[in-house]
Amino acid sequence: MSQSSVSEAHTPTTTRIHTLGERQVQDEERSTLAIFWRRFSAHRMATVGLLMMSAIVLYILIGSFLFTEEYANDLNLRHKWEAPSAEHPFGTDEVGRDVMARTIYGGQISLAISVLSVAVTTITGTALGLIAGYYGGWLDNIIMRVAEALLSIPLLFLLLVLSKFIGTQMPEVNVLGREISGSVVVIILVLGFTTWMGLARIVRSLVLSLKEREFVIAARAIGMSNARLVFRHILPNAMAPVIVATTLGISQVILIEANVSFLGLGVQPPTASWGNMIQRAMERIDTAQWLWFFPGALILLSVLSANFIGDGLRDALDPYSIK
Amino acid sequence: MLLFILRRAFFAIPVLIGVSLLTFIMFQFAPGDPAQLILGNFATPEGIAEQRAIMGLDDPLWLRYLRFLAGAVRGDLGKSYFGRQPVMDEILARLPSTFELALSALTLAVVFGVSIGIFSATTRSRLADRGVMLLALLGISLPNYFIGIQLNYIFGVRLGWVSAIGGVGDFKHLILPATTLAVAIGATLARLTRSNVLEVIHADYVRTARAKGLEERLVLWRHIMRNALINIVTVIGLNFGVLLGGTVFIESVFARPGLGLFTLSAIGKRDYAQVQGIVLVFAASFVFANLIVDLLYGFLDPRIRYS
Repeated sequence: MSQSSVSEAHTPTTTRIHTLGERQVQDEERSTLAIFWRRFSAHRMATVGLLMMSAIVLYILIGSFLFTEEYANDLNLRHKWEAPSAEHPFGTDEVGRDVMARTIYGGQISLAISVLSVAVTTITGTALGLIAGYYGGWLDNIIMRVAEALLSIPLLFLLLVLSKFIGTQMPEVNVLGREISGSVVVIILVLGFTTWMGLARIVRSLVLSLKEREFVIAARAIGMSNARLVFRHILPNAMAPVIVATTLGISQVILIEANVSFLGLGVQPPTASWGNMIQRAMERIDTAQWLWFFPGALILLSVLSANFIGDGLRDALDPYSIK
Repeated sequence: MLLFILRRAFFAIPVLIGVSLLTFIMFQFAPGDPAQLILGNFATPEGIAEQRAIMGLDDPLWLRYLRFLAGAVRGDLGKSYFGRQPVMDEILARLPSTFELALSALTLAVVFGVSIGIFSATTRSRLADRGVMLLALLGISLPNYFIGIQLNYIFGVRLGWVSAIGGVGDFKHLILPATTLAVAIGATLARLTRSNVLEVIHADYVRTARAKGLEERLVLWRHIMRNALINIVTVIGLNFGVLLGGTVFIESVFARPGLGLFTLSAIGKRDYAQVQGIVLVFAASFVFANLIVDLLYGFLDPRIRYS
């Protein structure tokens, strides 16, 4: 979706290209998408990141065909704290549940939380940034002052306070046949509405400069409506930083979810998440290393790969980079 | 310069007002009636009505906000629900240990982060550069408390070098918590320093400085770092919130009494007067830290001072 909007855009980069050396002149002959892909795939770490992320996504998807969720939540006190074996490849936890099955279902929760809350952040941040930048005036003032005030309160305190306020009243929700603890929805909303400020600032400053550009003025001169102008000309040109911020945001949220779990305010059991698995594993840090090693490794790998992909996207989408 | 400082300090006032307004509004949505929370489950309706009148809870919203603001300006954050102590005193009693932790972590992060970044950007060994940056990447890819517990297990339990759990005051109890808190920010700073140094290392003025025979050490500090420092200082300011938030984890991992643990207990027992006071104090220190960052800009870049 994001890629097609990039290619549709009247990217002002094509006019700048002549001055940037031979390699760029070659770029001009290809489509924007092809340029993007060539640059992205030339970034070795970004390719590694993409492969790792695909592997993790495949793992949690295919895994749910191998194990049922009942199995992942199935208590078996006779088999608690068993080391990895053929029957339980990742061992069992303190109530005898299979750690591998839990990393699969927990991974679905952890990744769903990051993707959905980042989606909330992206939509809120982009919309507010667009409105503030495009309309200016008192709307701009209010939005930016609220953003400033929210930015001044350390994120963790916002999270703790808000999840306490709305956390307790959330009922269980049913998604695709899975009963999911209401805390998941709370975390998604709270994270989404407390992390939009940086993105709103970026989008606003882009819009401020874009709306003075010739192609926008020309479009306005031929009588284009505000909505069309914003969605057809301004937004596509502001997409690159939004995409990069979104990707990097995913890695942030995976970590935040894990951190908040540690304080007991994250995803509530029996629903597993990588964060709450690792938290309970800490009590057995020395005797049952498999309990924290596998969810920890999955957190590490997914954060790393989201960071790699984000770096690659930044280089590939940056019109100023000469790479 | 004085004018510059005053002007910047003046700009912090609307932000602080915004923060207090936001905090106040946020706590209006707190579930439960404060009077009920204070008096407990067996309170009579008359008792609750009386308590509400004492606390001025029936006054219009704007009046209550103004009262809250007037109190906050004078350093009065109200009384805690359960202990009936002035919240400000409770916070001030715990502030020193948290500040000690945050400032030592910040110092560690800046010293190690910036030097690692410089090393990584200037070393001729590609392997060393890659290795150090991989470590920095690991530092920002694992949950903070996880790193803390692992460090504590390795250095405290296995090797027995330090006993970091519990207690405040001496170096032995500070080193592990501070190091843990420093990891993420230090790693961010190392990556940032490296990319900023690399950005200016080939600039014309750096070549000129070398061409005129300036010592390499002076080229680095006067020309390269002076320009890179502006970005580094910005990121330190923005990470101040991460630092303050981080103290909550570190204090609970290492059972270190301070504002972080106080926050958790206040949230746990729903003492909103305490929580509101803490949020306000943390936000104010964040604004203050960024005011210092703003002033540092003027110090680092004369163009900002005079514009």
